[in-house]
Amino acid sequence: MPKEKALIKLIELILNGSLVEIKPEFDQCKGSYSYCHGPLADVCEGLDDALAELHENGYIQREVYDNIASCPSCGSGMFLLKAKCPYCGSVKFSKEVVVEHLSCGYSGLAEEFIGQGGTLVCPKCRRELKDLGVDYVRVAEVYRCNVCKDVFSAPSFSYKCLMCGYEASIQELKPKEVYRYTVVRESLEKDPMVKSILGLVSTLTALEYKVKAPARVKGRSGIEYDFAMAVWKKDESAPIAVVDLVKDSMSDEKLLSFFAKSIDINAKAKILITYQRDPNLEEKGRKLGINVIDLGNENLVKKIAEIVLSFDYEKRGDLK
Amino acid sequence: MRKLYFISFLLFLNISLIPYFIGGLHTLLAYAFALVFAIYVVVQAFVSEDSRFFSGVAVYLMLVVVPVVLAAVAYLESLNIFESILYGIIAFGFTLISWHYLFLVPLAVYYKRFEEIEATKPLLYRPLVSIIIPARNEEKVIGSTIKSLLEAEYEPKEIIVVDDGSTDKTFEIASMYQGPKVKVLRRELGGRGKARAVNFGLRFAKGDVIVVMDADTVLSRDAIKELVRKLQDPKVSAVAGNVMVRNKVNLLTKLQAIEYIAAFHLFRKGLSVLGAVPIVSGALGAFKREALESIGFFDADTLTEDFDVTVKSIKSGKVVQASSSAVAFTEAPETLRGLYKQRLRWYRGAYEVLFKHRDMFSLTGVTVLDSSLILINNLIMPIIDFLTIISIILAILRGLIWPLVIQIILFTTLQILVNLVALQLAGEEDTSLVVLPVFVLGYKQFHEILMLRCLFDVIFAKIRKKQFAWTFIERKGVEEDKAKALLHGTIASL
Repeated sequence: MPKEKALIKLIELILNGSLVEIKPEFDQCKGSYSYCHGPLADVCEGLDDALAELHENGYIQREVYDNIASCPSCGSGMFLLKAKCPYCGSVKFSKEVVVEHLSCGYSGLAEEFIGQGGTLVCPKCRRELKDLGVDYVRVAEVYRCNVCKDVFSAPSFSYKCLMCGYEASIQELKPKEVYRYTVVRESLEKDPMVKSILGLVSTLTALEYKVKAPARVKGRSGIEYDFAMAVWKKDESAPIAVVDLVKDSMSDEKLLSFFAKSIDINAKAKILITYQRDPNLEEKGRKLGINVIDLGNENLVKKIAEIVLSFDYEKRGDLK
Repeated sequence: MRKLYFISFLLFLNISLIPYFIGGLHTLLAYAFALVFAIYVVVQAFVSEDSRFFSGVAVYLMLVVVPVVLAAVAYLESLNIFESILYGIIAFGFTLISWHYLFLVPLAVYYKRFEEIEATKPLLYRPLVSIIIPARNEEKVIGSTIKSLLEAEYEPKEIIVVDDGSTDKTFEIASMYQGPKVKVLRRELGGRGKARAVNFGLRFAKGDVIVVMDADTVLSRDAIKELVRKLQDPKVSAVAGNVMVRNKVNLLTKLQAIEYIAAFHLFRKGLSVLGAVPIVSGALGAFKREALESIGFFDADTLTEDFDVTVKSIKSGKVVQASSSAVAFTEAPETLRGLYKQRLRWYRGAYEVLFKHRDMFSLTGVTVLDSSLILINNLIMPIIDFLTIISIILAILRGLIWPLVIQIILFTTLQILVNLVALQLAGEEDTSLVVLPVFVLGYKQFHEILMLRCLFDVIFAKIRKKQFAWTFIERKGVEEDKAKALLHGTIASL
């Protein structure tokens, strides 16, 4: 769940005050703007979606920072500009000079004016042209296509994407707005989920637990897992409790994945916080020993603290 | 049609009354005799279907001898020397004007019918058409012009935009449309005449038919097809489009609209019967490529390359016609200053062309009629009008008021009726009749005085061996939707 991971990281950084502005930087390797730098360097995947979601919820404001052409195939902004004949698309063409005989007004390619003995003669009136600027002028430079033999003043250009190789015309290129984000901390703090997490962090910290939100925990298998929150007793390496968030609904696969992760890290209390009450999930969770609590529960913080304490024989009864 | 015949009847009634008031009974009789002779010539031309009938001695008689004789009759019938000179001048001018219309009105009516029959024939000739658009600082209009051409009904076609050294975004906007059907070429050294820009485009055109148009011209969807329809006739080498004013926003542009209609529906249509339309307008015209090649394309030594190239075509024996259905809308100058600048170029250019092609005033071939009519319109009428104005002022000072008032009324009515015929031929219903008197009394004189000024400009320029520089009018541009609405409206009324 890369988006969720990026979301949790963003929220953490916003809440601890280390992220006030999220500014894009041009990534020369990718050929496009990216937010994946500085404190967000380890959550590149799903970062754009996470930012869009935070913006949608009003936690960050955005303004257009730049507007770039992007590849219709892969979205990259790095192209090789290719010149070609506008009529047949050939890349083989050469430059030629158009000469005009001033007195009769005839225009033609310079080669047409070359007469016998290398003199310049107007093909229309057969008069000899002696002085440039007096008898004749170079009115234009044109390109002549070696394939279709047609002429043009400016070649047409195609844009070859350096990332995927797709060759697009200028009409195909899509303008893409690139945003700069500004954090609206107050609205984030008012979010019931964030509020609950913050309440939990302060309550459990007061009970002298070590709390990390979000948290990356290494399992017995050696695999590292991400959780919205993990709680440790101060002297233990395995967390006493892990918490994850369920925004909309949770599939059976995801539920089992959460269960497996919790088992691997040997967490005693396994808690899922949902936005809305889901009796089905509660039932499935109960069978797996997972506590499912919804945000509508008025005593959510107290209830989770009780669950944590119920696994801690030393502190059981500390919560009043 | 009934309205048209009624106006034509009034027109000829008017023509019959004028001689009586100019001179008297003898002038009227002399005029009636000349009229019979003129009708005989016109009828013979139709019956024999030989356009050469309009040339040679008959034309010489009608356009030179008869006016002089009638002027002499009017002169002799007058009571005193002053009146003799005055009425002599008026009689000469009036005779020319009458002949002019006696030729053109029946021919134009005949050509209308001819075109109606022609429109029913299928289009079997489908050559590649190269549409050349010379454009200098036309960023406001070039995009919509290219779009309207791409949407035009005819295929196969190629559009060649020649950016004539624009300093605005013309080239960039036109280049957006560059592709298999649209060529965009840029002349770095631009602004030295439309002919040079057209020649530049022509050099790279592949079509067997070349259409030349202005960048601000909006074509009807079937304009290209209709131009090609005329060229289907192997004898026809060039076709003039029916150019109309699209911005009838004030009195000045409404007057120009009437002028354009009269020029097309009387002059160009009338002369189409003879295959000798003297001007294929630069706003829209089509040529067979071989015809252009044979006359050496466009020359850059006059200000009016369209007039020049048409005269060259006619001189070389090519048939030039006009097409009423090939409609193009152009933006006319909206200010007197703009009109003055435009016409300065047109009239100076016209006299340059007349000087350049003075050898066409020979009494052979159909060119004699053309050259005579060009001379009447561009030289004799302005001079006669000018002399008439001076004579009238002198006459009023001598107390000769009432006979002159009657003549002025008759002349004005004549002009109004002639223009009404043109409006009827054009099927134009929305032109206010209030504008017509202003057109014949004021607008025409403005042009004629300007023509005389340009004539002297050209004479002095020739003496000093100088050439005139090109002038440009600023385009306002018409919103695309408005242009489309305009097009559909007009097509529906045709």
